[in-house]
Amino acid sequence: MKTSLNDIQLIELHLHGGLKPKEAAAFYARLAVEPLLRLQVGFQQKVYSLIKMYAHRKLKSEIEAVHQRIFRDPERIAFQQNVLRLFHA
Amino acid sequence: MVATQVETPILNSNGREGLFEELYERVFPLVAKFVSHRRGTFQDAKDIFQDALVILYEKIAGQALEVRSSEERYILGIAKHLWIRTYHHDRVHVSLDDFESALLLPDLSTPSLAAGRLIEFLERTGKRCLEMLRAFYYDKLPMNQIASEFGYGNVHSATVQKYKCLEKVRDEIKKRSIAYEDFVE
Repeated sequence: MKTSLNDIQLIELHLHGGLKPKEAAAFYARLAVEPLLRLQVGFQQKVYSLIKMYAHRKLKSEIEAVHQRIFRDPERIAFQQNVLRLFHA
Repeated sequence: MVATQVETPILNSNGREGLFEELYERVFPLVAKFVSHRRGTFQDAKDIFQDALVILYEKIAGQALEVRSSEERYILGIAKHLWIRTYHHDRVHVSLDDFESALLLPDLSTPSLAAGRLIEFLERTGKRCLEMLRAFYYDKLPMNQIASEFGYGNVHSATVQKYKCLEKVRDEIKKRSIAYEDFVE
């Protein structure tokens, strides 16, 4: 793998607690002298939160699609009425 | 209900759909009943139930698909917490048993405007990458399953691709980072 990808892998292990003690020591030594690497760590953390936001959005739209399907399915009319009736007491 | 002991694949998009559908039919009426008894609306019940499904999904992602009665209990418990959080004046009217009291509600933060725009941009320019990253980090699918679902010959090339995708997203974040500091609202 390219050096940049190796660093991404290394940062990932660092952030997710997967570095062995020796590797961690070497990584901290690099962090101390490489400001760019420190920046990359910060950016990569943002990547993980962005992935989570994206996944979260997608999941919600998948759930909404299930909702629409169930509440528009003519074969599930009894189910729909049973639920809707609760709100018209 | 007893857990099925059949060997099932880790939840992928097809498995998710089936799971949500089953839970909708089985558990949504219970949540709707709970909400309607507290004078909530159908929309309240829907919002709460859907958020509870997300929370459940995040808890079980990466595990074999097996729906048990504990999932039903979990969703109902989470729904009660969500109800309390949204309408906290009502706390006294919601009784929580020991199992429910012990549940912790994760933070469901919404993306900031800038993050939302970046996601939309990446969806247009690199949807496949986003989907692959989602499959690995959020759905927690094993790399061999990702390799076959995304059409890579082996785990190694899929892994390299995953890191390339991370790099691509990171570079885009980097490019835009001057514009905003806060990522989450």
